Amino acid sequence: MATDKQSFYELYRQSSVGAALMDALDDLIMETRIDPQLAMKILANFDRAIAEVLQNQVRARLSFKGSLDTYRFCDEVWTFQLKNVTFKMDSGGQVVSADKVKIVSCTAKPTGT
Amino acid sequence: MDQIPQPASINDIENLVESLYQPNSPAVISRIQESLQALQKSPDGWQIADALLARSSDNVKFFGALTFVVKLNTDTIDDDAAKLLVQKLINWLVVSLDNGAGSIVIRKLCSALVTHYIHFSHLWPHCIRDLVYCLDLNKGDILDDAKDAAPVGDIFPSLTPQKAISVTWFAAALAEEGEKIDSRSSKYIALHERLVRNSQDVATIVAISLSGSAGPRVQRDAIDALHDWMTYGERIPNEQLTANLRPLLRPTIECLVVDDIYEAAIEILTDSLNNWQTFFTKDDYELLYSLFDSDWSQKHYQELIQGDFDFAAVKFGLLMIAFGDAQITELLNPSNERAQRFLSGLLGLLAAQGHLVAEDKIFVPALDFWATLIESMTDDLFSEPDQPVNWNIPPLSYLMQVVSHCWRKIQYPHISVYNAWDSTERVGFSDARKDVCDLLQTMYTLAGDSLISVFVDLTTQSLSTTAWAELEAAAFCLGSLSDCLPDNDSCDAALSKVFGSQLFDLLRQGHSVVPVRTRQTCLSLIERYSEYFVRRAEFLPAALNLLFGALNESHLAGPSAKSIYRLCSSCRAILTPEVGAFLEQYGMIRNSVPMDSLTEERVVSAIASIIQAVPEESQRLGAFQQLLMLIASDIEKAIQLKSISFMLEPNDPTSPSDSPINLDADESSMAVKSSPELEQLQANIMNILAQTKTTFHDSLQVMSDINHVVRAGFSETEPGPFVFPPQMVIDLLTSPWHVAAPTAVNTAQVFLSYVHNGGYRGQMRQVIDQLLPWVISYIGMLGHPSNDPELAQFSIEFIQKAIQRCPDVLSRVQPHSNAEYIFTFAIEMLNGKEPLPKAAAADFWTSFITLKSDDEGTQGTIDGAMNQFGPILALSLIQNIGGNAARSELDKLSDPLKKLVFQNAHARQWLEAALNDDSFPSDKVSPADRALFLKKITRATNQVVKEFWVSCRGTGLGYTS
Repeated sequence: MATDKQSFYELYRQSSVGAALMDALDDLIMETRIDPQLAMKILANFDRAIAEVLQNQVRARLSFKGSLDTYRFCDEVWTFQLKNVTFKMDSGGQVVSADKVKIVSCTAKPTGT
Repeated sequence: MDQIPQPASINDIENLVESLYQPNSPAVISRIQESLQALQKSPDGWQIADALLARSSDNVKFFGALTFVVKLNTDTIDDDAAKLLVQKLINWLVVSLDNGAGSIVIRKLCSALVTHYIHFSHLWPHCIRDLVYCLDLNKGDILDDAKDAAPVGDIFPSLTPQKAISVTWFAAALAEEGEKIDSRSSKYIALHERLVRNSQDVATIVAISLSGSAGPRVQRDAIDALHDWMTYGERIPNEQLTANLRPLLRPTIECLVVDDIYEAAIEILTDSLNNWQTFFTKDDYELLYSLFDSDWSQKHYQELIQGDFDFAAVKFGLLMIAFGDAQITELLNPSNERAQRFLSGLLGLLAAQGHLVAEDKIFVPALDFWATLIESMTDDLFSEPDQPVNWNIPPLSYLMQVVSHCWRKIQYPHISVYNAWDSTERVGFSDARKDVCDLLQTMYTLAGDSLISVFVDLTTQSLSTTAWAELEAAAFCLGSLSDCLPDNDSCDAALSKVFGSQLFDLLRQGHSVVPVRTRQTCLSLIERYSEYFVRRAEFLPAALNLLFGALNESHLAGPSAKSIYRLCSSCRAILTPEVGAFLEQYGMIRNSVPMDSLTEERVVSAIASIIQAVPEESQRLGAFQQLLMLIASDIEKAIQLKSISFMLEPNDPTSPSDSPINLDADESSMAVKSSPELEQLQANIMNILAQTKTTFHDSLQVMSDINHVVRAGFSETEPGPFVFPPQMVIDLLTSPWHVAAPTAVNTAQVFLSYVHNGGYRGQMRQVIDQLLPWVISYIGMLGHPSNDPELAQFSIEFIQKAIQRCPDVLSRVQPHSNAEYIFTFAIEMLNGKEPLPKAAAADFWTSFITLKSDDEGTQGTIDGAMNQFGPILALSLIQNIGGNAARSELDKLSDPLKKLVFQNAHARQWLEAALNDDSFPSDKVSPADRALFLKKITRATNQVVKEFWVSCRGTGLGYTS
């Protein structure tokens, strides 16, 4: 369970919603409507909020099956490479297949920076 | 609206601050804030802050302290002024404490002191000691003497509780702000070192406060300060800091049993166990074990599992779970009796009284813990396969109890109880059931097929006792395990106990006997185990009869149709002899049973999948023709209704796949062979589409559906009714589209990939020759990309694919000015603000820069176009990279830049001219910076581009990593 005092990854800043937020903040800074320090705080809030929302609010699920080809665990990051993967959506939609899938996963609780 | 008059005196400012706290419209408040912020940022801000702190109102004092914070963050002052300032701030703190100022004032003054320390820590490195000393003597201007003062531990106990609390607040704010400051920056290394040195004094004041001599409020604030310092220590690890703070853990644990500070103590302990387990020593864990064995714990535990879910009780459960997480290795050790005793307590959390989520707030966190524990068990067992596995002793013996508790917990309550829940509680209940599914799937790895047998037995027992809620939960759990089963018949015998039981007979009896929810779950169970019915076809007719029968009940139609689709799809090879019966059945029910469009689509898809498996072509096409006639009659009705101003959405007979299909993949080409029957079918379908398109030309939804039908054939690898010949597709695409031109152009660009990789590759040139003028006519009508960004994007994507497939197409565009227009249009898209068209234009230019042709004439045309548009392209790219583009667009824009630099000899010259052009959007980079950018651009282009963009926009934009 996340608390205010926990630290959060910055990796979701590269998602489309994170990129859109950064573009908007850039524009606000350019228009001198906010300071870069405020933009940093907003991004830190975004890091927290998106991690919490993904953990607590997003309930969509999928299951997948495939052959594990390669895996490694380095610097607290797991990497799995799968072959012949089929994804089954929670909503009962059609099965999605992929020849190769790479999964990069970080521990839910980042260690100290 | 009246302007806020500029305050002329301190009294005016005081009145303005007070008016901020009066009821006012948002617009007035906004104007007051603007006016006050302008004052704070003015050169007189320091004097204003000082004067406001002398006033009597807490609101005004608060604003004075805030103004000091703003000035410290925005103004530059020298060390002498800073030294006077800290003395002044401490004096104000002393005075405010003496005057009994409110906590908002004291906290803000502490915050101002912390802000001062962040900027000038070298002026008073031992800030805690200095502050304690000054408060003890009620003076701020004796800061220099503090170094000779007695140790903090001697002075702090003599402070009044208010002063002690203010020091604790200062200490807490110090850690809170310090944590936000980058510890990797060389600029702040000294600050962090000084903070660590202060931690010894912090530990001293927290230890004295925790002793309780000054009352629970001081204890509570001390725990809060410790919490902030532990968070700081976790984020910025330091051995000395950890060693200073660690002795405070034991007194904090002892505070748990004090009612007034229970909440603060349990919060910090739970948080630390979750996030910083190594902070706890073996002795600390021993103390916590003893605590959990105490009567105090037993009382809290009993209250919780007996259904007391108030804040304090739930917090106790969360502490247990956090402790369990931290002790997971011990909990896996069967010989550790104390750990196993604690684990049985965690097991009990799954069986607390009360309905899931609506009442029981501890089940979901406890379930999360058990899922983690089971994963750890699995890791242990698989890493040491030779170790004996004993399911009769804890912790393994607890797992079946976990399953039992979960099964009971997810049972739906009586409908009256469920209906009384609000939507959040219902969603939470449903989500918790899904969490149980996850746990069962994790457990299957450990328990294997025996878990299937457990739920098969629970299902059959519940059936025999007609316990519907139990049956529903058992069927739900059994269904959740279907994905875990191996692709063999190892569980078929067990499953036959369910599907060969009286289940189908009972389900057929209607909702007066079996509740709807139970029937829904059981019907879904058939879908979940559709592979079982392939192997055990003897149960298939009963299952299908049940499912078709359920279509006429509105609550069951959805899950039934879904199950019909899955069963027919999985068992299509077995069902082909019955295709006629299916068509007949569908023909009957569509006239007698009202079905929603999704239900009917699934039934049609189910029958279509059986037809697809019919081996003999004429029989297959005949069956398809029958199905198509039924759908055509629906469309006919829709057209008739349209004529009387009604609107119906036609069914999509092809169920376009949701899965992405890579049409550009180099698949082996499909053999194009057709028969007169197939051609006739295709013509019939196309006629239906054309008729529908004409009738519903103003409906975006219908136009989109028509495009879906056309595209359905693009993903086929064998000839079929929807695999239309290219000319048929071209004729449809080039007919008028009115509101749906972007969708049609998008279909056209997908069509190019299909033609390239399908059996019609030889016709590519003719296809492009017919479609390109049509696409160019659209962009000609557009005028500017911003008039319809979507159409612009799809058009340029089409043109990009066309020139990739047939580079010579450019030289054949007539009139020749049209080719020039395409390039100008692509530059306009690159210069525009719309992200998707800009990305499409970047891709177009990336392709064009690298375009090569074996034909000399074509290559000459390409080179000529490049020479003509190269300088304009370079200017557009540089203007984007020079600050016009958004940060997120830089990677996309780097692609054509890279290609340009590496592929074209004139690129540097063009880029240099663009960098020095008068229209360059930034004045923040010097000519030398621009020249350096040009030199560096060949290495790590994306990173160089990003750095240059930040320089052009200004250093303020470098705020993100």
